[in-house]
Amino acid sequence: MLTLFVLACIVPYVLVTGFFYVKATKRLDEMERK
Amino acid sequence: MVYKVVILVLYLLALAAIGVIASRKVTDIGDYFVAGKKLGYWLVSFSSRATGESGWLLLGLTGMGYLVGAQSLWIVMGEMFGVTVCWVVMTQRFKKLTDRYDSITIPDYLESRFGNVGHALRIISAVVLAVFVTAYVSAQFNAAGKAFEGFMGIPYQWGVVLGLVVVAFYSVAGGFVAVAWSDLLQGVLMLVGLVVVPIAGLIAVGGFDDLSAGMAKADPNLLSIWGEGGATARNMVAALGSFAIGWAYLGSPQLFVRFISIRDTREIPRGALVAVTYTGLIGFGAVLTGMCGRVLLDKLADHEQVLPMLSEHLLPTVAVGFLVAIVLAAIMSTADSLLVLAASALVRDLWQKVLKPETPDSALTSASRVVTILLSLFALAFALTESRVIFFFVLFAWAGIGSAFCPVIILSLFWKGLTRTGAIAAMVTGFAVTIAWKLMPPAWLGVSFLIPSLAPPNKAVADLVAADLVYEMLPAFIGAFIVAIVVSLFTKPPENAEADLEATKAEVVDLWS
Repeated sequence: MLTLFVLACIVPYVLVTGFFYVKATKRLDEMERK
Repeated sequence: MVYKVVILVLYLLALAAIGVIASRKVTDIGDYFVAGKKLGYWLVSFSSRATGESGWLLLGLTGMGYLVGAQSLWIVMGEMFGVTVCWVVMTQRFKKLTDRYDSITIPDYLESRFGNVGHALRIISAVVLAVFVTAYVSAQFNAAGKAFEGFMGIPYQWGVVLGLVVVAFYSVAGGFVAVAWSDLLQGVLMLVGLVVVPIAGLIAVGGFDDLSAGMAKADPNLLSIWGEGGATARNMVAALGSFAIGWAYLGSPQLFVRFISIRDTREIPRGALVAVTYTGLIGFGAVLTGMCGRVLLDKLADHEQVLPMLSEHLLPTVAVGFLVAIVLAAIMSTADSLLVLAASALVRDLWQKVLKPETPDSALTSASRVVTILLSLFALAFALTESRVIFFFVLFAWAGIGSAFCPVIILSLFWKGLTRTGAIAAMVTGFAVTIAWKLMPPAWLGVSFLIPSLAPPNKAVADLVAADLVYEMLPAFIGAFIVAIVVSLFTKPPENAEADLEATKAEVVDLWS
């Protein structure tokens, strides 16, 4: 239970931030090229 | 003792050097308050994290890890939530809008977004910040006194004064530039401390299995995320309150002013990665430190001394010297930012924008320095006359600032229907409910009388959390949010709102677009 809770404190936020980083960097590059 | 003093003096000299170097870069009020909007992502993410955490993290959260064990992980979860949503969802829009309005303070932004009739938003902002920043900063000096006492045996009062002199010196000299650079240094030191101490603690305990066994032996409830009694209504309310601590990352001025200072929006995705990783490491590091302390140390008279005591117990003297500098770093990185923020509210937002618009920039920079000194002295007077539990006093100020500003900032970025009257009503609600709730702890006593399952199970814990069973952030934040929406539905939104939000939306990358 405690291990699951610790994972719940980390994993979703790291995944969301990682996804945002990849997507935003790519889109901002595209926007700058235009 | 000699090692500790030498390392401490070196650290304080480094801060003084930052203050002197930065003072040469301050030529106008924009440099003093937002570093001329030229900062990169490392500086901004470390500065916002170091400011957001404070002595509360190193002394308060480690103390909660010691006192309640796994329950304090709710705070870490709340912080991860707040920091992630802030950087991923809000920061780009906020930066674009503040650039569009040419704002250098949060009240600047609010007034441009909603119009400046009567300067009501500026005046309310200045009042909220003056009240809660004084409380917040005095709690930091309080923490400085405890740190000097715990680590070096220096009397509490002298520790408070020493902390103030250093912070006031480099904040006054270098303004935001000095604050941001010292935050970077301090943020790195905090990270190192909260990685090294728990690792040393885990090695001394014998690993995670032995840590669990040791905690279970001390008190089996330390391993439960709900605490004694399991998932009762009372424990769930307490857990939600701990989680709500993270909500104040969604618009508090001392954090969001850092996003005004960032160079451009391209820095934000990188800053998000740094900030979220940093938050996870220091949050778990702090809780783990407290847990190891519970297993390794004899019973402490003051649970907020767990970090000094554990490091004395585990680390060589040289490393303890560094730890003194690290705790002071956490305290100072918050105190300096808050002092500059409060000075900006009084000098820029009240004096320049409301009372004396013709004042030249050069006079404003000098006035900002004088106000920074006066606020420091005011906070010092509080810190010297009161000795309190840092954890809860910081949370009170944190809730006050967060509840007054965050609902308005969130809605202002995403909802064109938010009106000036709605924003004012929400700020007043957040401010008033925080104070009222803190002054009326009997509110929950009444509830626990009617519903016995909400009554505190353990006297020691009950005494500590008495006034905070329902953390004031919950009613104040939610109340302000609802008031903002309801009042806005009956009043007229600003004419420029739709155009501003649409233009901003086209320039940012949403997670879902």
